[in-house]
Amino acid sequence: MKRYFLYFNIGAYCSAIAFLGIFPVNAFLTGYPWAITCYNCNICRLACPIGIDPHGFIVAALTNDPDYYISTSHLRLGLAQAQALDKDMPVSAGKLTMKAGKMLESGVDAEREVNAVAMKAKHVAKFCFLCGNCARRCPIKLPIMDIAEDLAKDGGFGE
Amino acid sequence: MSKTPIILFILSVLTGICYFGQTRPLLKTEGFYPVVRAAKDASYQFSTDTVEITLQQNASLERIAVFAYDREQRQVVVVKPLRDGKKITVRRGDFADYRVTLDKDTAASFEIFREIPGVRKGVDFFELLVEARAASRRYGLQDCLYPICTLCMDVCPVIKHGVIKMKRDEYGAFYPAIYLTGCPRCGKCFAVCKLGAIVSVRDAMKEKVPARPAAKMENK
Repeated sequence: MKRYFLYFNIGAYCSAIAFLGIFPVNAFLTGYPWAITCYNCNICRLACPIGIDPHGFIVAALTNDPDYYISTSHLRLGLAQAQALDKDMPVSAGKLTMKAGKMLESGVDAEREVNAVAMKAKHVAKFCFLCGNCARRCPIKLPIMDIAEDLAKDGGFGE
Repeated sequence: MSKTPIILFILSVLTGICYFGQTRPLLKTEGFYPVVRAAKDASYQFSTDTVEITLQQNASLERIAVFAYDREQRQVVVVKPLRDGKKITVRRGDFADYRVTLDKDTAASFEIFREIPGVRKGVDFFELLVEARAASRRYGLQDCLYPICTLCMDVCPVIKHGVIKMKRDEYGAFYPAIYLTGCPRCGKCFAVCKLGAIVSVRDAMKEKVPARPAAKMENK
């Protein structure tokens, strides 16, 4: 093998290791090291009665990012409330899907009930009922709702 | 020397750290008796495309479960946000969130709905509510999300003695019937109930929460 191919190979390998190493480090920093054991089976996605994707909480813990957007299929709230939380939140009302701020500007009634399409993890945590159905359905019994409970307190991880 | 045992050792150490590193928030509880919130009184206004529901008193949360019974006597539920703490609007095209199949008076199973365009159609809750009213079937509001949420029963240390039993009231709403004679006042049930269906007797007195009468232990 030519010398520069070898250097490129080693460089790429080290970069991949460094990139993948961020996740366990973040998982330890957030206080949820077990998050790295989630293998994204998506069973929890079908367990939430209000349409939250609980796997998103695990991704938020893995990336140490409370602003990570979680998919929410039918989480209902008022348009004014959605706009107050996050004007960039994608929402849908009937067949119309756009960001909450834009929808309000387009003349849709602020009292109108909308479905959140995606929402930041720290905001979703406030809507989560903490019923624990996601944790019960998890095949490796990860306490997913602990993350939601933590985020709901102050919008961040840790104390 | 083979590297396999070293790698296996490192992996087992990492797994151990992950397992023991699970942070579980401590459950702080108060030693009070639990109180179960009373059924919600509400008025319903039916029109061609909407049903306006107005609660008699403010709800415990910003959202509440609205239910109606279908032809097979299954409880179909939608979780709706409240406006001004008292008003709910059910519109045509509001799809139900889950459905509970009953066996006599207990929940046998439940199904969480996901509408997949072109594959699976959701249950239009508005149509179901109108149909339930026309057919004199039961419909109403409830705080409790049983059987999806069973946290109060999961944490109760004396659940084997039948201290908490899930019941349905005359309106068809599920509620936790707590037999106070067997209750050890550990306070775990109201600490975990984030839906506000169970509150401590102190909070109930402070906030003047209308409560259901305490359940009496049945003879076995």
